[in-house]
Amino acid sequence: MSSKTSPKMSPAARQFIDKVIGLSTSLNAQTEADALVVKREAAQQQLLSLGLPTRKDEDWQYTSIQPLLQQDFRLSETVSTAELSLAQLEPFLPDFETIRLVFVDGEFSESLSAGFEYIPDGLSIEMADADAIQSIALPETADAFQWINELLLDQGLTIQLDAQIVLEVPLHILFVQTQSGTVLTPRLQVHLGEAAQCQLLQHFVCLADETLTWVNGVGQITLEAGATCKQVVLQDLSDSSFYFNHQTTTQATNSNFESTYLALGSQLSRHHSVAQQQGDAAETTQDSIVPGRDQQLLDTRTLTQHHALHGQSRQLHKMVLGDAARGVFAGMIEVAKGAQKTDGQMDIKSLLLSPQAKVDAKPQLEIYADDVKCSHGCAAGQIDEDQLFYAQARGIRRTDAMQLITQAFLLEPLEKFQVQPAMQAWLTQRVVDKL
Amino acid sequence: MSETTQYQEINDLLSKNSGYKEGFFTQTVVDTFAKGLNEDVVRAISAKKNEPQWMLDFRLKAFAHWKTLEEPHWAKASYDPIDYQDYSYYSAPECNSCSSDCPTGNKGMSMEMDPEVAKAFSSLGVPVNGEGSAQKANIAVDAIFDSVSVSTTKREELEELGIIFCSFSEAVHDHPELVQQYLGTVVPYHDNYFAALNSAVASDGTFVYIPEGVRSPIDLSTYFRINEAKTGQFERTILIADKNSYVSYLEGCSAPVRDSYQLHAAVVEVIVHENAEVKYSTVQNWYPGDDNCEGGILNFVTKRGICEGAHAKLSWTQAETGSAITWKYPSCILKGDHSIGEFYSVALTNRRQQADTGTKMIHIGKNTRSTIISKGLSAGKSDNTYRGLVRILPSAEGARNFTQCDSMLIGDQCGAHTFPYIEVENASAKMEHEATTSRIGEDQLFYCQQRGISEQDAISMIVNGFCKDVFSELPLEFAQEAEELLAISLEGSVG
Repeated sequence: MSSKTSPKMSPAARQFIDKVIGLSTSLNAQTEADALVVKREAAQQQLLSLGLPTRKDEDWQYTSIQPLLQQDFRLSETVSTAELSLAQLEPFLPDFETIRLVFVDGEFSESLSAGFEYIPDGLSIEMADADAIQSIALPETADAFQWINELLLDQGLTIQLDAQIVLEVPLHILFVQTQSGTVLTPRLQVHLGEAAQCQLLQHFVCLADETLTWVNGVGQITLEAGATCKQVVLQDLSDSSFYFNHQTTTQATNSNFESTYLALGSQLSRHHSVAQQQGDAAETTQDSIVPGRDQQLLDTRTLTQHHALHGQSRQLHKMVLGDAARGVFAGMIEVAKGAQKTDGQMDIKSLLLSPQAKVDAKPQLEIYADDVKCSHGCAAGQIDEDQLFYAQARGIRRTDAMQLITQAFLLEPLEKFQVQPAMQAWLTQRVVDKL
Repeated sequence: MSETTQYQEINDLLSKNSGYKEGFFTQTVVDTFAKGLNEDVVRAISAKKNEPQWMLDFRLKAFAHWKTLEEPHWAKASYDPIDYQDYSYYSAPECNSCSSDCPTGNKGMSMEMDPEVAKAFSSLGVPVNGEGSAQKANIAVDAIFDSVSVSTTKREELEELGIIFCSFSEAVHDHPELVQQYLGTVVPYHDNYFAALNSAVASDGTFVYIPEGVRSPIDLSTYFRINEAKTGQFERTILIADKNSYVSYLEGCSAPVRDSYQLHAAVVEVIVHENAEVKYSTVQNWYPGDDNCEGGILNFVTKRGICEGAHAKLSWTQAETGSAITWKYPSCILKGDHSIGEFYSVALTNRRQQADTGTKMIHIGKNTRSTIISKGLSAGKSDNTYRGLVRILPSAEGARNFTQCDSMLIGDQCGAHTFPYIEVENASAKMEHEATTSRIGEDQLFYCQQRGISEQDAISMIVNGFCKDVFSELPLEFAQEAEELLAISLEGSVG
């Protein structure tokens, strides 16, 4: 492991790391599998040598993690999930058929989960045990938060869809946090065989508005040739919570990955989606919807790596920022040497609703192939007075008109998201409720 | 060594670099400092220029700060750490190095110029003698050879209007109050690594002051020439446009073909007062090095202007074709209400050149506007990066920005990158950014060739069309020079 000495860290960062390591040590004491302990210890070394990022780091210049460092987190206590009734989950449940997997404070709850009858042959859903986890490796380039995930890794969720299997019913993975002051480190592994298809709805919520939690997830999604995955990440935590998620999607030939991230909650969040096109003619969509309010800092990042021929990637990121909310976006389209005929496009559009709202955007292109079509566009502004006037002239009240324009602006990524109308309507409602 | 063999070597080198016609070398008696950089060198430079104490203090302060800094490597260009002890920090043709003896007022007259140096400038097409072509060219020139300014033409004519146009060293003597008032106000000595280095060892540069209400009738221009091997050029240029004035300033540069990297770290400060307008155009044609960009110029430049007063306007136009490495971000601080900043750039890289260039637009005043048009062309095995910042501060009510960065790739071995930073803190601001990447289409080439236009000419036509938005902003003579430069630099990049 790295023998690098620890970088200079602020006392707060140092203290925070020590606490996290403390949690890991107590976890180790309860763990029987040595392999898992070894893995956590390796992660500890990595974290110590990396340190926590500060705003001096290029990737963190707009995102300060200070509010997180001021918190004192602990591991969730095992609770009897029977204490939680299905009725309490009602607000989080969609009105369309799903295969529902419910995790309460990270613990799988069979009684709250449902829709198992829709599980076809060829779909396996497993709580990865120590052995399975052992085979999951983080990349060399992993950042401090990914290592923290590994440091506190206890259980992973592995979903495997065999070749040719088409999952008609969306898979709803609901993480419910009930204990305040706890950290959740979910690890999701999804593997889609050749020409397999599925819809994933990853959903993060807090049971009560006062619950303060820290979700620090890592996801790895693999798409074999011709596979299709439609993913929604619905981050709807309480306004005091923290959310960090880093997912990497690897795509083979002709695969199609379509992802939408909805940043509806948290005081500080950072969703990082990496897509690697390794086979020819792969298609990738990475969209986001970010309605910010109060003092929220909502950070969305993408990295799209085109390594093969005829790749296509599309991104549409919409931010509506009110109050003193801050929106951050950083995206990079990389076209490797030889990835000819790549067609990449990234759009970031932000609407600033209040004088204190801020937006920072860094749309980037790095291109090493000549026969490509790549572009990005970025725009920021406020609601067009002409549009308001137009609506008002037709008898729509100014506040209603603003609401209407804002909604239409924000929901664009969902409108073009090709899923069943019920799902689209339900997601739309989740966003509208936040406005 | 006999002269013939010496020329033989140069010719050999030249034939290898047929594209770079400014690659000749001037033989003249020079006064060059020994290699190395320490506080004594900084003091010696200051003494050589017979500088007042405040200037020496400024240098020493900068040098002390520079020593605490680390060389930046964040740009998308890989280069080995530079050995700053391996360069000479002062070099001047003998005739001009005697400023301590000559009355400074006489310095810069063409009669004093070394004939070899004069010959060099005339073969570069720079009118330094104030006669003949220069008279007609309607342009005033400050010619800088290595560390010193050797000639400044048309000064008398300009003086009548109250315009100060002289070398930086002269300004330190003749207009200390102005230099003290403005030096380091836009680019402080602690701004960045190379600005600190420049502040410590600044060689010469140009000083321009346009008084209130004066429109400069002629274009002012500076031509920089690095001649000596293993020397660094660290020019410092200050341009001040007082209220209601106007000036168009041009800048050109070249260097001989060398086999080791040469260092160029310049600082340019532009101050634009109320209602004034400055147009700053650069054609950068430093020696890019041989086919592997060995021996080219390392170009680390800090250029920044401030629109101090209301309705001030600053426009940067640049055509970058030379240098092994370019690290340059001409910026505008839009402080005055309704002030305007513009940046038009064409950057071409070929062979193994690496350019990381762009701009910064800092909107502070109300209703400030900025436009960025950047065209990057990469060919050969080069890397061309646009890096730009648009920052709209909370005070910049109604600010407006439009940015367009287009990249064109010629060949499949090169890279084109776009790294914009957009920071908006005012809701009433409107900003738009667009970037595209494309290439010269085979069908476009085929179309031209079918009509009897050679492949080379067709590429040249397409490239010129691609860059038209920027070239149209350059003064006429410069536009032509830039087009020719593009054609030369692109030679052999296709096929």
